[in-house]
Amino acid sequence: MTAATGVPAVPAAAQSLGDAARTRPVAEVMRHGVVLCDADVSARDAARTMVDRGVTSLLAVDISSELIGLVDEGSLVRAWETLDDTPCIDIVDPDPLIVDPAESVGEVARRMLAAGVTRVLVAPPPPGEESGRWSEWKERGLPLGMLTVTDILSRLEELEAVVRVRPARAGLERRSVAPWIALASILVVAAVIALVLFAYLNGTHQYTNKPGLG
Amino acid sequence: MPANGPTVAEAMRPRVIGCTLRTPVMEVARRLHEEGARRMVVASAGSDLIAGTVGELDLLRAVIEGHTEGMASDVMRLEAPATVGAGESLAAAVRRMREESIDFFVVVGGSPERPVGTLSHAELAAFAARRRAAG
Repeated sequence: MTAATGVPAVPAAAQSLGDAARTRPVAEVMRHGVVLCDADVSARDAARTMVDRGVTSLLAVDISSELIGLVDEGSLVRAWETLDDTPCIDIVDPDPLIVDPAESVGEVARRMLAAGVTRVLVAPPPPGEESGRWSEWKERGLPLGMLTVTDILSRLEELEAVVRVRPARAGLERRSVAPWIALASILVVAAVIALVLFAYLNGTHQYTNKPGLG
Repeated sequence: MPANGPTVAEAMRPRVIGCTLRTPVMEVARRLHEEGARRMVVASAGSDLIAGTVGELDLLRAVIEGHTEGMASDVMRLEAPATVGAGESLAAAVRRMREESIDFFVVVGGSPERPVGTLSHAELAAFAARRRAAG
């Protein structure tokens, strides 16, 4: 587990959607706060809490508020035959992946992919400690929140707009001062004036040379 | 033979969320998010033939590798998804999930047999939440 690495800033001119997504710090994309459940409640009650709260995982705590581990939708499969009789403590992931809010989304995404998980806990690292295993991190109290693949993907849409609007605006600004537009305008105005003059002079000439008048 | 206890049909998402090979990756991500789904099937345009599936981790890989402007065919898994019958026992389906590390079923039914829904951990959680007796 890495220690704090500093908040990587979003580059001023991100080259692509992927760049914009990868360089964001976790703190900007994560879902703040975690939903807790008592480690002694049944797996079915945990399922109800997930559905009622619209989350896909819960943090199980024991009676002394010590963090026990993470329960998610996949945990329910382990106790499907005894959902009403199995306490959460028996199906938790006791060592979930936990990351620093200052890490980049790209780095965390790589770790999620390597671990094959779709969610990580987010918590500040213990100061001055190299190790960042869950057993040490949980001594520091509640995590700040969670980051799921869904959070990253849902922010892609927002990032896509940022990435696409930036070059479009830049192009628009360039076009507004483009010399060919000014030149074309001048030519159009000159052509109109020439046409009007031609029509006027031609009409006058025909009129003055019309025979048989008077 | 009728299933003992709840069937897969009672817990499944009663439709198949899918896209074509040429659906943009961003559109796939948007639809998964809107539907609250974890995975969708990929089929050739105008065909019921399933070419593969795209899940959240496949899209995460696309973000890492910079393929977010590609198509579903660039990021999908080529292996056919596991299937289960709509009338089969839900308990047996969950047992298969556990024993074979399956996280997504395409549910088939009807005659001739065709995809009628999907079953993943999300549908199981929702089913468990609305049932009092163990499934």
